[in-house]
Amino acid sequence: MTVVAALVLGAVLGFGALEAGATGETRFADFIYADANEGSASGGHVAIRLGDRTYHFGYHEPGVLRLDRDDSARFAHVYGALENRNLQLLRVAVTEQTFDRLRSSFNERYLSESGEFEVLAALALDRAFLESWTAGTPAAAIRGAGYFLPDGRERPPPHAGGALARLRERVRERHGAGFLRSRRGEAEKELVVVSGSSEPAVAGLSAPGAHPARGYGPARRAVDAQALVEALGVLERGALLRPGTTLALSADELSLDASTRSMLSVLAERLERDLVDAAASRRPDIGFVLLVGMARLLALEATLDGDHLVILDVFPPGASRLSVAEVEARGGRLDVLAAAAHEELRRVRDVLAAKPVPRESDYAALEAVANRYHELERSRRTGTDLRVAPGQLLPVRSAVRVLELPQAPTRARLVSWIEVLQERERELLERLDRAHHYNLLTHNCVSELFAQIERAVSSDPVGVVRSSVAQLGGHVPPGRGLEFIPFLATDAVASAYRVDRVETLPSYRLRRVEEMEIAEGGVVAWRESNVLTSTVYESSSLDSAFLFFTDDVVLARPLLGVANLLYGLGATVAGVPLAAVDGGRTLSAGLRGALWSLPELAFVNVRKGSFFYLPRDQTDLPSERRTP
Amino acid sequence: MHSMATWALAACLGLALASAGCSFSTSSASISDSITGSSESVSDSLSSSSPDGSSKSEQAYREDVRDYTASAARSGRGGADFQGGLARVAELHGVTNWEADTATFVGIGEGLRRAGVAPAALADWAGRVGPSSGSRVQAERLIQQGYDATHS
Repeated sequence: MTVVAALVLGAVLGFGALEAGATGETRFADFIYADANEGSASGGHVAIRLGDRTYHFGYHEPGVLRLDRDDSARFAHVYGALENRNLQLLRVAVTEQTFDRLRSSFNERYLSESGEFEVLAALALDRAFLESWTAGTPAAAIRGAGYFLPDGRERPPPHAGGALARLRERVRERHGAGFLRSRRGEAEKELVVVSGSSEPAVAGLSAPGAHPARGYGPARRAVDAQALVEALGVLERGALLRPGTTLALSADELSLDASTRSMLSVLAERLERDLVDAAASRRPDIGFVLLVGMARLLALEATLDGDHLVILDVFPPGASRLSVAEVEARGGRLDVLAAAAHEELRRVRDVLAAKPVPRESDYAALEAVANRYHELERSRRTGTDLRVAPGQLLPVRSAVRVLELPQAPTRARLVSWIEVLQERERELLERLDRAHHYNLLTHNCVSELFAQIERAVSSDPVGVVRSSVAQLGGHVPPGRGLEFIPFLATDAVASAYRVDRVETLPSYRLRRVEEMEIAEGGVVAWRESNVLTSTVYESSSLDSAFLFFTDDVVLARPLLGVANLLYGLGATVAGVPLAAVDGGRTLSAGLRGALWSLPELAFVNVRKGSFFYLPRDQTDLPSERRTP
Repeated sequence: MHSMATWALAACLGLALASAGCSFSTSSASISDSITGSSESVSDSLSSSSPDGSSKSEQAYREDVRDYTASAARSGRGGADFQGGLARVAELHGVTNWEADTATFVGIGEGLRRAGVAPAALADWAGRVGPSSGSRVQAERLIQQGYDATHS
């Protein structure tokens, strides 16, 4: 276990250490090196941790390099625990000002980049709407409308009473008796205006580097106006939530004590008040806000009228699905996953119950964790596929509505609008391709990280080196020599930057084995050395076929590599006849197993195994602030 | 820092890099995160973590609004385009009704200060992004509050 000893958490190597505080450095900008493992980023990966946010460049389909942003604890959990990599933190001491400059620069880029790709998607939606108009039936997906309305033109019968009746009354009290009719009239007039509009399809593209402008042309105006017409229609007539748009958690699953009910009551009251204000808002997309708010209001009403939590189904319609068998083949167990999601749901409920006035995002968080838990539990009970959706979940269920456009522009005008949108899409695609095209050697996760650091430390390209030296202690030019390889880039950082200390977080398996050795003694090393008897590692279809772990042995690595190679080849041979049964899974694992055994013959370890699920808090990051 | 073995690794990684390259945005190993949403503890982010009582999630939202506003103000964007981008940023944080969230306007004020917008222009910005209803005055006050609390 000498390697483990060498990787002891908190090992201080003291590269280029400065006297603490001598030059005012109080923060750390951590350059993170996640070492190699098979699968994604098999050559290792690099990132910069700036407090509770970690930025790194990743490969996105279709072949583009984009800046990703993660909660730092999540990054450590995914790379250090689930992907089972050793993490090395090169801690660069910086002033508050430099820290702030780095963080703002990376953050602005992240927001700008994600905006660019969303603009591209929005342009395609606008164009699809115009094409449907050209075909004679103008239809568009109205976000939030799916909770009340079906696709098409049909509207459900009015529904008297309930939360929407109260909201309608408050809107009338606040804005006047004729307000709703007048507001609806304005939105309908907007549809008339758009129909006869001769305006250009959209405004011009924003300048490169600036925040991307989507533009606001007739297509978007029409869809926003229709969303407002639909929202005001729901409010005026009253409506029920459509079947299948809500989830219910029994009182046994999530009890609602007095403080929780009180919190939900405060939320409902606040939401109602905010919707009264929103009804008069001039925000172009306010129809969406009203639809989502009214749907949530009804879900809250159902909860408060009963004894259990009723919540909107917030999974996006295009959520990918995993079969139970796929989850289990990857080493996941639905009962364990559901228990973890349930625990998180209870924690969120308790945190919210203690808040005097929860925010909308607090309720959105409750919706998200309740949905994830409910989905796991449903799949576990029924054995049906599991919906999977990364990131923020929001109630955006759409209905594809036919727009109430009284007339159509001439076909020639519609076609010209479509052509303009196509041209904008093409321009944006070209720009994105130029800016984000992935190249293994010249434009990868390493080179772009250093390029962004350069942009952060100096807005003047001429003064980059001087600024970098002043703020970081040195300069690492992007794309120099072999420094596109993550571990060589790490060496470059250690040599150039003002690295105050280096800390290594051993991978999850190494940490667990070391803890076991301390508790149980020498037998652990033998037991945990292979996949057959290991109690820490569970085989996963994500990993290649192998027998022995070689990340914690050096001298015996080639010998174990031979065993792994033979095992991989054996799995390959066995996988050929099994391919008809398992879809080639064993064959693939065998081939990959043989491949990743080859470096082991030369004393090099890449493969470390991975974990489908682990409870959080397995990887603690060191403090983000520098202590004297 | 690295031994000879690491140079052997460099050669082997040529193959590895060619087959995998940079980290995939959604690696297979992190699928469980998409299922449980638990590797980024939601409950932790909702808890108060600052002297002013704001939660980590609220601070993160305000920071994003600040950085978005600063960037948009520097590139001279306002009006519907600014609001569209703001809506997108807000949705990243689970906020659909950004007009009803005080953190939005504080963040806008902070961003305007960072972009070097003159104090005299704040009322104009409040007019462009503030609610059209009676809470306009409050929006102006919050923008000013964010502006005053930030260094350029």
